Amino acid sequence: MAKTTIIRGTSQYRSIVTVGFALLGLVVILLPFVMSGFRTFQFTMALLWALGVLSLNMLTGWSGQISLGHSALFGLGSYTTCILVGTYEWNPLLTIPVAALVTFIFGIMIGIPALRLAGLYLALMTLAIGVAFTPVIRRFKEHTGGSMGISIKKKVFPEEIVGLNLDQYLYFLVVIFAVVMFALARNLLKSRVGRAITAMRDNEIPAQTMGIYPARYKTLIFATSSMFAGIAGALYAFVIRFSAPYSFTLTLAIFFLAGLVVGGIGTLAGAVLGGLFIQFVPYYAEEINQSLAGMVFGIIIIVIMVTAPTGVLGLIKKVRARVVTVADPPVVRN
Amino acid sequence: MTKFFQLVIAGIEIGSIYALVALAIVIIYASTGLKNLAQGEMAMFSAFIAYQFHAWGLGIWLALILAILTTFVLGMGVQQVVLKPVQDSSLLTVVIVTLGLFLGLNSVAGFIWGYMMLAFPAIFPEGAVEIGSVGISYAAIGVFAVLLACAGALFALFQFTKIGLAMRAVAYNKETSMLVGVQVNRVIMVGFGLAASLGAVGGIFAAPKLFLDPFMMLTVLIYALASAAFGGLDSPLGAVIAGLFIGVIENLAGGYIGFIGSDLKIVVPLVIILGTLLFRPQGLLGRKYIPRV
Repeated sequence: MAKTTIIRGTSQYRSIVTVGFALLGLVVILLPFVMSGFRTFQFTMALLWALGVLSLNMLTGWSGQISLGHSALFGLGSYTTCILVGTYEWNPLLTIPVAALVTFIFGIMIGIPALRLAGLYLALMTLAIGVAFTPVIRRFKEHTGGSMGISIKKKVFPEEIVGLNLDQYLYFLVVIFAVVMFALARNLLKSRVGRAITAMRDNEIPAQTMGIYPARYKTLIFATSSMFAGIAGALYAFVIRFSAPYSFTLTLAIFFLAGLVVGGIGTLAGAVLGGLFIQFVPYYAEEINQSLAGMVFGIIIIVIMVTAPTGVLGLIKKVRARVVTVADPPVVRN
Repeated sequence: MTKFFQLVIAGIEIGSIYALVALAIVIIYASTGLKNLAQGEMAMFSAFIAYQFHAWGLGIWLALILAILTTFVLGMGVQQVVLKPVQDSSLLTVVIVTLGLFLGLNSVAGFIWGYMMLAFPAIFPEGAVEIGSVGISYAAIGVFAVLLACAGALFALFQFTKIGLAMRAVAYNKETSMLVGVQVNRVIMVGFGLAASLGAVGGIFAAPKLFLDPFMMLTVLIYALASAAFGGLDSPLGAVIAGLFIGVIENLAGGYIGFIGSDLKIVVPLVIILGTLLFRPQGLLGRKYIPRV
């Protein structure tokens, strides 16, 4: 088979990309009308996990910092929404900016000491935060409901919204947020900030000599990543309508990391694959045995890190490279 | 004052466990630069193995010695199969792989022994030595004695044996050791087995107090990591001192500061990690690391 070459930026390349995205968009829009309510809910959850993985990706994939506390940030977002809606009867949608702000500030608070830390200590500190989250939530039970958790009544959402039932409404809400957040993440990565962050990841000392000020960018990316996790958590509270301390344990943080590894570290599309993985693998594995999901995750993480560190997306790209070559336009010298 | 001493003794008892797991972490870190986040889960697994031997009818001391020996072999196996391929990879890879190990061991333990809490038989006799109004339980004395014995044995191993010398050499400089004929890979493998066994001692002696379930070592791991960071990541002596110190501080904070209580004790290691990093990043007795361009 003759290999074809497609050059980036040509009209051919653009039309392929446009058609691809249009098809993807069509599938995403039609999905909740074809699938049952439960399936729709599962895909909504997969997207939420994808947002969680995305937030971790911004930190780990782009700037090389390790966080094992993203379960806590996700939980913080979820609790913010649950408390504001459940106790203070806010409009759910208004709680999202609050959750974003709370987690952003929290991210700065973690991010500032994180500046002094080499990767290892950051992993340690965030690990401690991830583990401490559950007992801390239990400790403030007058606000958080302690071990019993805190719930949102279903009636805060109207039964039917613009002709969509609640499952479909939540699905589209999450889709819209996901599209916006992925676009924001992409633009951030392509911006001056993104270049500075990846430069620091690859080698900090040269980056510093080029005039990049690590403290500022590290704090910024930490806070942004926390905010993304917090927004995902707030949306999670919409969908599950319940927050309990045991939903946001270290296991969730490891699942995010697993999703990141499986999808492909540092890639945006990989985050979506990771989200699907986090949602569907345990669902089918636990039908067989309660412990199987953990075992499968553990083994897959190790095998992928050792044999194929670029994850599933990397494998897809390798397969694609056998069929077509996508090349950058030739450089014109004058 | 009775309450104070009682809290200090309880702190030394639990601190001995932290110190044992911290020792395991430090030994691996010093010899390979690898931070094993699955150390706690490996210890948990060993405690289950000891439980199983005991359930098969062996005496408790025989069961725990067999479990520690089994763990030595398992630890070497884990190093060869899982960690050796990523030993020299980036920190991110190592952290992810050890977390994969963490999750895997946790689930396998849940698969075999279930998630219900199991009662682990008492290792030391019940009762306490009374000094004035303060009671020191035999368990506290026993665990502390075990820690001292392990630390002493480790010191002797490092100072007076050939393999100990090789381990110190590898910890100091891997390439140079290789050049003078040290079998670096074998030394690292033995070091791993040794660390796993030390962790196993910690897990087994923690089991009667914490009860046995797949998540029993999770908080111990955090305290042990904090101890390792506080004592200096490459200093075994620092790990022991810091483990005991953290155990005591944690108990005093929980006992005297009403706001902290028993739920917020977990914040103590967090504060200690932060404080260490801010004021003495190399830890109490650690070697200072100066980055070079």
